[in-house]
Amino acid sequence: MDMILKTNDLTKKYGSKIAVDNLNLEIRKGEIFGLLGPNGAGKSTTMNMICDILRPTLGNVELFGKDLHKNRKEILKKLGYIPQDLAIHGNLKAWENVELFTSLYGIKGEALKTAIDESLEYVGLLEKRNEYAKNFSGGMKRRLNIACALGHKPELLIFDEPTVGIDPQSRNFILNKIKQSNEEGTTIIYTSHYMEEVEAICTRIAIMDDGKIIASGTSEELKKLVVDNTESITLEEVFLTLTGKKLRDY
Amino acid sequence: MIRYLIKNYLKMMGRSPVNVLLFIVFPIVLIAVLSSAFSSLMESYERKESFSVGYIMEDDSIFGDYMEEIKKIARENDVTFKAYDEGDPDKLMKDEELESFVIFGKDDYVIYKRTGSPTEGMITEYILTAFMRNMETYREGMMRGMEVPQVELDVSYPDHMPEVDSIDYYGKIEIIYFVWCGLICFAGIIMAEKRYKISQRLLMSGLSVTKIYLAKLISSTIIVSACTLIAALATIAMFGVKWGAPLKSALVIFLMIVAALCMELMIYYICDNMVITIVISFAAVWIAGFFSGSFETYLFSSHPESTKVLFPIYHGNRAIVELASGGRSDYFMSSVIYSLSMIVGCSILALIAGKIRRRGRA
Ligand SMILES: Nc1ncnc2c1ncn2[C@@H]1O[C@H](COP(=O)(O)OP(=O)(O)O)[C@@H](O)[C@H]1O
Ligand SMILES: [Mg+2]
Repeated sequence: MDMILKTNDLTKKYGSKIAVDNLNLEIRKGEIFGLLGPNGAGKSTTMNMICDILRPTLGNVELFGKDLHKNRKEILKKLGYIPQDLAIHGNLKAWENVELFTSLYGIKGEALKTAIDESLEYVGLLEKRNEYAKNFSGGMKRRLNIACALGHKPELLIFDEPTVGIDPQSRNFILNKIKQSNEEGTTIIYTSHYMEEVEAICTRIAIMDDGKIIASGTSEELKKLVVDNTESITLEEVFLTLTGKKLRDY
Repeated sequence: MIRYLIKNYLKMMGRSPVNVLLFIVFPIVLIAVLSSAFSSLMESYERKESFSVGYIMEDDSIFGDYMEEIKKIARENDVTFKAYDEGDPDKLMKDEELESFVIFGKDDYVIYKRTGSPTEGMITEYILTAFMRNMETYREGMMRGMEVPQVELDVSYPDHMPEVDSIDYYGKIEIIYFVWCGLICFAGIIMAEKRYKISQRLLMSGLSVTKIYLAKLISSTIIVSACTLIAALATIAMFGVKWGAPLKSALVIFLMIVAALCMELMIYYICDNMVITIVISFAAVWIAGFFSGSFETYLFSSHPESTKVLFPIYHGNRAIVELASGGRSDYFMSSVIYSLSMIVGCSILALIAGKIRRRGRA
């Protein structure tokens, strides 16, 4: 199948700290790829390198079969990135936020208006389109954050912990929408430290710790790594077994 | 397409009342305070009805033939030129009650001003400048044609040596001063962009550093210009401040707005910290204002001219004040050129810094 993303020995160092260590990922068209890992594992750093926000210390990223750095403009147009941080302006209304970020991709006029409404509709905020983002609840802000990345109809959507700190309803809504996008043909990369989310929606999972992928496969395959009888173990236990049970102070 | 980016920046700035406060209310308050504080001081500097200026004409001076013309310009302004053969200017000024003294050398002249009579000193300066201007016209006429044209002496010119009243002075100067604090209106947005990583989101759309810079510059220029216009109109309505040569004045102020924003954006692009940017910009603007007459009027300040001309605010202040009182100013062109150079220079540095930073990150 078509390879959408390939990282070759992707490495990011901050001083002596290796945040991402020789990462080799391959993601195919149509997948929902889950990147699972504890806080500080290097998930956001990896995503930022894939989106050209950070430059790798070593290695490179290929997207849609092309080198990211040599084809930035072309590749970035096909990417939708939902950052872990809520990258929205509180002083703008919901629709204005979507307008701002969608217009950056060269969409204008009627097409822009349609894209704004579709994106807001998609995350269930169409009724709230004229309200200021600063007055939104945590869940609504998360959804608006997602809407801002949808307007230009990306082929690859990258979610960086989109469900942190929100109510169960919003969380459920977001997970269902991700599935729906995938069914409509969008490839998804989904990072999280919540096992059950990843297990529920992802077709393939990689477990990351200390900047390295320590295991990958379907949830069944991952469970088999630890025990033979996959009925008796949850992915959470696999995760804890593989990443170690020590507490992480991040 | 940065059109929508600019539009949304404008909306955000328009929604924050701090901007309106800073660019409209603050200058007006300062105008009221400073003009009343300095009004008595400025009155004491009003020129004497008529006064005398001493001069020594050296033998080989080219000015010798023109002394009658100089005297004529002076007479129109109630100034009498008295000839001396020799002597120490300072001593003569004291003994003979002369307000200033001129020594005409071979092809130049030196003006001695009496301490305590700066206004009269400046009038002397303007009389000679006016004469020099006429000399040029005269010479050009000689070179071009066979007939020597009748030289119309521009006697009204020294009148623009302003007896500025303090409200008229501060009414303009404080507006100019706040123009130089322009980035304040954009600081909140830039801080939010950094805190919420919105700047990264802008870059990952593939938008270039240059386009993002332009969007910031254009939108903040629009807001500061609009606020400045309102503030200037308010000075007319509230204090009856007289602004002159509207197009030229507007051009000088507009270019200063852009230059100030470029300078401040450049500082931000270099240090990547809004608090430091504001501290540095405000300190720089305050120092420039101090030497340029933003607090104590430049007309009578004791700073040497060679220091004052270093600061763009000085050129702007003089251009605006002189355009209003005399309709023309030697500082109009220098202010325009100074601002344009700053716009180009600072933008280039800002973009280089922005691209280096982007490359380090991306
Ligand atoms: N700008 C930075 N400077 C120094 N260290 C950083 C920086 N960003 C991230 N790190 C470190 O890199 C590691 C990976 O961080 P991150 O990618 O945010 O993890 P995750 O998203 O998986 O929680 C962490 O140990 C973090 O402290
Ligand atoms: Mg993270």
